[in-house]
Order: sequence, then C-alpha cells, then structure tokens
Amino acid sequence: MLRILKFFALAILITGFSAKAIAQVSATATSSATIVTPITIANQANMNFGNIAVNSSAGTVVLPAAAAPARTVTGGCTLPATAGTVSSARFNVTGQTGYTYAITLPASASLTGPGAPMTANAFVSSPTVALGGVLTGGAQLLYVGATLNVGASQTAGAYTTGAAFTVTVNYN
Amino acid sequence: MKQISKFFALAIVMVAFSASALSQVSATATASATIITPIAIANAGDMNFGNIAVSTAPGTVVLPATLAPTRTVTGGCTLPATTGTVSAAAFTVTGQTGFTYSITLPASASLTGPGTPMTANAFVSTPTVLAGGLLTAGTQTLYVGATLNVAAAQTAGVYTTAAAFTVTVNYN
Repeated sequence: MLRILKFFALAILITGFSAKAIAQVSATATSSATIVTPITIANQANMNFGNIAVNSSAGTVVLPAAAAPARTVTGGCTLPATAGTVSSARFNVTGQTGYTYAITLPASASLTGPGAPMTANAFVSSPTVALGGVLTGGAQLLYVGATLNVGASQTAGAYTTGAAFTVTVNYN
Repeated sequence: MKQISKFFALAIVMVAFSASALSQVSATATASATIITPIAIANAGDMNFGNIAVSTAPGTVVLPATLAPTRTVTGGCTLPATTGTVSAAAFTVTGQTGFTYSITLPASASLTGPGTPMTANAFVSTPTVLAGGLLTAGTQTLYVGATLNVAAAQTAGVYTTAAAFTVTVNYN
C-alpha cells in the first residue's frame, strides 16, 4: 500500500511538472452517473400442458408461448374436449424503461408422476430468445412454452416437475 | 510496479464480478401435465330382437336402446306373447371421470338364417349419438338398438349376424 501511494505521489509530481512547462489552464466538467433500475423477474403462472389422451404410440404435445396457448399434437397424443388447465409459464420482467434484455431458457425438464417420467424440451418464449425482450414501460410479460414427450401408453395420472425449471434474464 | 499491476488486476476482476452478479436474475416455474385414462369399450350383452310373427306383408321391428326395451312393429310383423329374449346390445364404456365421448354406430348389419337375409339398420343408442356420452364416475353403460327389416312371409328360424357389428367410442 505504501508503495502504491508513492507511485501516485510520483505520478502527480510528474504531471504537475509537465503542465507547468506549457502554461497552466483549467476547465471543468461535470461527472454524472445513472444507476439503472435493476432487472427483476418474477413467476406469475406455471406451465400446464393440460389433459392429454394417449394410445399405444408415443407422441408429443407442443405448448406455444402465449397468453392463451393452442396446443398441437403429434404421434399417439390426442387432446380431449375437456382440456383441463392449459397455460404457458408466465413471468413478469421489470427494469429500466426502454432497456432490452437477454433470455435464457432451460434445455429440458422432467415431469414425474405415476408412470415413466416425461421430458419437456424445446422450450420457447415470447418474446423469443433470438430477439430478446424490451422493457417498454419498464415491464414485460415473458411467456414460456415447451414440447412434452409422451411415452407409448403413458400411465394415466398427473405429472409435474420435481424441481421447477429456471428462466434467466439479463440486460443486454 | 508489479504490485501495482496486481492491484489494478484485482480491481478489474472485482468490478466485472460485481456487475454480472447484480444484473442477471432468474425465476422458476413448474410444468405439469395430466395423462387421462384411455377410453375403453367392452361388450356386456348382445342385441336380440326376440320372437317375431310374420305375414304376407313385409314389416319392421323397432328395438329401442334401453335396458329393458319395448319393441314396436310396423307392416306385417306382430309380436307374440312369448317374446323370447329381447335385449338391446349393451357396452361398458370406461375412461377418465367426467369426460365426454362420441359414439359411432354401424349403418346396417345383415342377419342370416334359413331364409333370405334380413337387414338391421337405423341403429340408435342411449346415450344418443347426437348428445354423446359422459363418463360420470369413469364409466357408463351404452345401449344400442336398431330396426329389423322383415320380408313378406320371411322363412321361420333363427337369424343372426355372421359378422358382429361394431360400435366405436372416442373422447371428444
């Protein structure tokens, strides 16, 4: 520490000396800093794929990232008229008005229940990861959907994630 | 000089670390899905039009879709006091409690015996095709009736369907 102080003292001396050599003038400037509102993200709703009918073929249920998601299916999955609760996950992102932010989604999540665990993957969001979000008005709703992989003759019952999946946002 | 370098390096590391720790935030959500019990249908009783008396005029026997069907006749058919076994076809439909299902009935069936084959058509069901079924408590008995077309002076004897007719149910 003492040596650092010595260094600064020396630096000041040198500066002072060189300034003197050319004619000393001064000007002032203000110094400003803006502390931006920290970005925050809060869960407002969980993801629910709703009711799914299965048969002896494996299939998938695609849940888009939207306020009122319309599911689509492939393979052996069908969607009964009694849809159950169908919802994308919803997060409220807040921060500095007008700022943009990056979104990081999970790669996959495991849903466990009475039968073999099912994997949710191909997570998508609105706004998309590719475009990122913008905090118009200082807040934005972030919806997250995914694709559920259902096994052939998947055992009936309710399945849910043992560990909640994580969505991360950060200022660009 | 080396110690000064270390000091600045340390300072830069600290600044970089604290900046990223402050701005990146995460939230979690759970994902859920409900696999519904597959729908099933099992025969619980065959259709029987019972004993029918004929004349020189053709006629029909209408068998309603109920637990204890009361037959009606048109044309040359009459119903003797000894009715024989009279029953609508019965099926047990099982699946997810509270779910509704659609019913598909055959267009016609051919009953073969000692005389010319007779056609059963105008199939009806309880619950009706129009209203569809409801799996209150996860099960429902589905009755199926039909109209038998009897020819003039139809040869006496037992007539039965060579190939059983098919009733199909599916979740709405």
